Amino acid sequence: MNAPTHHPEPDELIAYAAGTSPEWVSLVVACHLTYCPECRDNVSLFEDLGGALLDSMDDTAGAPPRPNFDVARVLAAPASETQPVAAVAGIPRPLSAYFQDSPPRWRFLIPGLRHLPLNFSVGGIPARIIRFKPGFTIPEHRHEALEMLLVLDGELEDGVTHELFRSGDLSRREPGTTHSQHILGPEPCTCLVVSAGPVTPSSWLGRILKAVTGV
Amino acid sequence: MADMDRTSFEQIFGHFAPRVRAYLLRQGLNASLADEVSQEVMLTVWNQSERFDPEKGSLGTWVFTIARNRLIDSIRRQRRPEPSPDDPCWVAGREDPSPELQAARRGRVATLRTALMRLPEEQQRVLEALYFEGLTMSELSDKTGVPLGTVKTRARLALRTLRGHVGGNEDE
Repeated sequence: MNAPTHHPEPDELIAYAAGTSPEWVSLVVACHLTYCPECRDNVSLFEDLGGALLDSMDDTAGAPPRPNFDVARVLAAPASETQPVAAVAGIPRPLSAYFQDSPPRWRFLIPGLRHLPLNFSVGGIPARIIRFKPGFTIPEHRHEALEMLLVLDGELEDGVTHELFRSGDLSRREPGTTHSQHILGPEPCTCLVVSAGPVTPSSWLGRILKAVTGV
Repeated sequence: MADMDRTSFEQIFGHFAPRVRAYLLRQGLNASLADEVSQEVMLTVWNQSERFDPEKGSLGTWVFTIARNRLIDSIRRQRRPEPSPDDPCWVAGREDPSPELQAARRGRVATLRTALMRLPEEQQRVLEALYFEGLTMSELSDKTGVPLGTVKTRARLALRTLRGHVGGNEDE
């Protein structure tokens, strides 16, 4: 499989490594990293930079001089952090913690669209995993806030920039931008869609948008 | 890390506990909470010392990631989604770097620390704001009145310089 060509912004990767990004951005970045060795290298560098910044801390007065726990005690092995989570073929693992249904199942939205509901929303706007049928067109719409769309599987074309997005590619839409999208190829296209605000349809096809964005 | 015995841990504590506390204070915790959480972070370091592999990374980075994760889950009560190599969706890269590259990575934190101190002060400020204050570049611009383009340029220059020192690729 080819590595992605559309990546998060450098400051989003830094924020992910620094631990300062909002959870929804971290979720999108973690999914992208699953597919992207190049960004994993960058995050590893940015974590080392965090280590270097930590080591350079100089305002260290007033710190506890000694451990308040007994280092002589043999401590119990920490509980394993890997909880058994339901996996869905083609859906990256970071999303598994958020599935609404157990076991997760695809639900009908409108003709041509199915989704895997997630227990996760940003300011009341639900994050969604959507599966588009081949040939589906998302009509023109305007983003009122940042939207991140990560292609998990299949192929999608931006109707304005004509950029192609494949598995692992991140499409960022800045507030105030208008575009449409089209599913290419013979296969369905599965995407993670998270938006920090509503979208406004440019046409009567708003019903479809409502289904896509959940607003 | 099999050789993290009591004595070496006490040295590690003496070095990192004050730094972790300073980091937590920078993130906005009050002094008593910073005391408490820095002890918890160091307890985790001790507890999980077997998991630390000095061949794969630096101790400073490991402590940093533990402090960062503790801040996210205990203080901000959020999850921090992470990719996992055993995910069927995982796309492999150069995960098995050459011995030279691995050696270079081991020394990377020390190299970065030296290089950081030599950066112009305004570039250091940008990195500190991104790491410790949780600001995006545009928020930093709003807060300081420095134009966004200048903030971005400073960040780009800082990263380019740091990458140059550790031998990474320079394109962004």
